[in-house]
Amino acid sequence: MTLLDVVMAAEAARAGAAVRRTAYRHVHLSDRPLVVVAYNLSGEAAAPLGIMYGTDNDPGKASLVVAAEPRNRDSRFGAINAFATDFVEFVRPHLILRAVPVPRKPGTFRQVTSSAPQIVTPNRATRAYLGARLGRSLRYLGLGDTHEVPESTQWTGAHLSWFAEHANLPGQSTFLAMTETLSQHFVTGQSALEDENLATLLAWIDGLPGDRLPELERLEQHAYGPVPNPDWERRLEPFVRAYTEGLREDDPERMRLAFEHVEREVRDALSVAYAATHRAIAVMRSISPAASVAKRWDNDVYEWGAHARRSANGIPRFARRHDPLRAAAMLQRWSSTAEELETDQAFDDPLILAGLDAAGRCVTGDVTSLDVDHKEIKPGGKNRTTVPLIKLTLTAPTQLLAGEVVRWAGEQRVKGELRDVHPESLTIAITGGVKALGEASVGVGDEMVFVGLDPWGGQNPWAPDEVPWTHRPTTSELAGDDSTDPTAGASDDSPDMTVAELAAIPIVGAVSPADEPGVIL
Amino acid sequence: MSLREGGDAVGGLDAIRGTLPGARANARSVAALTENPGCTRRRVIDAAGVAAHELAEKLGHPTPRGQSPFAIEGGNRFEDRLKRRSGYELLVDALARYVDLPKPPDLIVEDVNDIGGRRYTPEWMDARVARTDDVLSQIARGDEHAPHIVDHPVLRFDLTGVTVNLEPDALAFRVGEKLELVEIKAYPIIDGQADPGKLASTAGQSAVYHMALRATLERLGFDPELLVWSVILVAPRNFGRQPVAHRIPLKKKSMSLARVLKAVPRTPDVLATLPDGLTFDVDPAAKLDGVALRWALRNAVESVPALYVPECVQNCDMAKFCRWEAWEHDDPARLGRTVRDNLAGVHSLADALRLATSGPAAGEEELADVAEALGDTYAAIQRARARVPTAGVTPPLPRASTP
Repeated sequence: MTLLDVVMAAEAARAGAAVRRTAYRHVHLSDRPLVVVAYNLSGEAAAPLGIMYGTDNDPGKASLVVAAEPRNRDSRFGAINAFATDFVEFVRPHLILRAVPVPRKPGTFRQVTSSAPQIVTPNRATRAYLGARLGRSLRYLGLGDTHEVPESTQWTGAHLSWFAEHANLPGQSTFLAMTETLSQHFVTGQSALEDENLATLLAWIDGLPGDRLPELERLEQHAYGPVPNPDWERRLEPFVRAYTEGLREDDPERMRLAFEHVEREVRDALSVAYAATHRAIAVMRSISPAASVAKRWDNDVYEWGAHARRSANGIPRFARRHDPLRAAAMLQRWSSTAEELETDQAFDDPLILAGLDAAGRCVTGDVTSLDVDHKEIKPGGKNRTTVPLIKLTLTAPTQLLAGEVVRWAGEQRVKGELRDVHPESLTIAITGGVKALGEASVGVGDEMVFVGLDPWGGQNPWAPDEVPWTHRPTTSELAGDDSTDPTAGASDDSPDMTVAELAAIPIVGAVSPADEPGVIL
Repeated sequence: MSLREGGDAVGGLDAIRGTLPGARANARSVAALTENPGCTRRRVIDAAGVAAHELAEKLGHPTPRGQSPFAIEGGNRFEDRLKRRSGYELLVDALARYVDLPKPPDLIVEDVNDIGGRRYTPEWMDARVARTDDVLSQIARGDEHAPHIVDHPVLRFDLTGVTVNLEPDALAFRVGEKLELVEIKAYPIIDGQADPGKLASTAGQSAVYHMALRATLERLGFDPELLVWSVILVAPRNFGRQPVAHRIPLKKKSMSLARVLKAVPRTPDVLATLPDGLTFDVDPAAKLDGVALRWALRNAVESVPALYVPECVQNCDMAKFCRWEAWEHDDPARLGRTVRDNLAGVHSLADALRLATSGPAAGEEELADVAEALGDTYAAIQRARARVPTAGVTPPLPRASTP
């Protein structure tokens, strides 16, 4: 937490309500994003008990798939396949390609999509579960020595894998986790760890009347997934067992009753998480978008287009791990995107700029004189060019020094250099964006804010064409002590249990805390 | 009774517990102790053998700690399959990448659980500790009949003055070679990667085992370097039930843990700083009603300082009480460790806000630095808000009708 966060958190703690961290919304919101909430059976890597999803904010209109015994293949894939069918339908309109002319290359066309799908989850853990877990568990199915699954399930594996990967791109809006988005926009009076609970985070945003902590503790009891509340799972266990016994004894009536019970429990629990996620979207929608959001969403659509083009030739395949060259290129792109995002947000949003201001990286002052016709020879140049001089009386402290490059918060293109820095005043020589400054018609007496950010304006540096040393194999790997498993991926590694195995699971009663494995006295 | 005079730390500890039922240290309490070794409250509770969970419950702030029956069953089944159900063959196969052990029936396994006697009694634990010592001596001497796998050895270890018995999942030993610590976990390793949080806590737990094993070898008069500076983690591969082994380096973690534990004061020294006559057994005769009991207990517990951070909730059964206390006192620590450190000397969030808005009061000269930083930050926020008047403290948004 920065000091800015601390001050805002102290304000929030006093008010009993979250404080806005930003003036604008920095993510894109589609008209009808797909909200997905899920419960995974504890102890399994990717075995959903239930997934609730939909675009309507009424949980009654959401779709729900349930596996009453996720450790059984038929039960598990009954739920996953049903979800996959709907998911593929949701994605389908966004895969339609159309040809657009390539700018500055007459006669050439490029295949693009008009839109990208948007998925919203309640928290980061659910996003990771859907993408890196469920998506990864589905994407190799149908290949090699794996079980057959419907094509829509394979497609879902591919799409979710794309989302999982794209979710790493700073500033992306295709795969949002509401705890992350809300905590980017609000500061609460609780810790970042506690903010990962969407229920309490929303309670702070709505305001906490009365005795706050007991109310928050009550809200913390409800699990928004993907890990269910353990006590809830304990109550569910007999019904999962009953379903298995029905399966073993081929007793459809017993299975039906057990399934109905599990479905009701899962529906009740997930409805709350589903409604809260839509509520979070509504909160975000009530904030007007920042200027550069559209640009970032255009990039999301552009990158989705690449996935759509691959999809036109069949189910796209994803490597288990990126090769070193690709990994290095990707890291470079993510870090330059992160830098660009920071700059864009600072120029878009005064409250984000305040973070830089608090660190002394801004120059704030009133214009006392303006010499727009001043001319000088720039370093390395030959001719005298116009370098307007702006003299400011400082109204806030700065830690920037003479010679540092700054940009005008009002217009990124206006770039200047600090001169004659005194505690109360300084001069800024405008070395770039002179025309943009003229258009803005700044006059004596106006307040101006310059910020010590100098974003790279040119093209991105070239992607590496050879593997950088950071990504080369280590000596021990070259020597053969390779930690990658050559037999990995030979099968689909499904967690299936036979009916007999399922029936052999001992009934686990309440385990006393003292019986936890590991240490004893 | 004064602890300072007699220096009778054990007597002091007994007095703190009084007639309360004793508690065994478990994986959770060791984690709580090693994750936050500077917390006096946790140290005292563990040293005195007070059941933290029951104490928190009596204080009215129980930690919900149910475990999913599916998770327990899955974990037990995975370990059982590796060991007993496959005659240790699956475990040997999984470990083959790092330790070349003979296959059954040539494999010698020492199961320290099978020591006889009534389980979970102190005598049973003593016997297991003794048996583990024997086996370790056999191994360290290079005895050709030494077991290849020691299943659930028990190591007695002094953790900053708290005696704990630790039970690693297994030790693997190739005669004439190195001794390997093995830990079996039920969380998956997908494409060679485990969940970083879970991996970190496994490494933390294993580092304690590692320290204990080295200490035991030294105590028995052997070279502790026999033990490799790592743990072999055996966990399910990808989404299935096939095990895969990965070596997790422990040297850094183990050494930093040793440094931290060396730096914290010994438990007897900690006890000497506590109020005379401290006891958590505030009502041995059961005369107090619920409210009075809670207040008496609260006073006793609050006289032992805690070092609360939000992460305590993950490890410590007292965390809900300490969180409540932090909220009552408006303690900046409730926002996290970095905030507590950044606001050192500022006792409440309200004070922080006052320093930010109106600077230090008379008598707060030592807070001048932090007040200036807070003041500059507050001024920057106010400048920004003046530019966007709507973005101040959130105007209440229309409440949803949903639950």
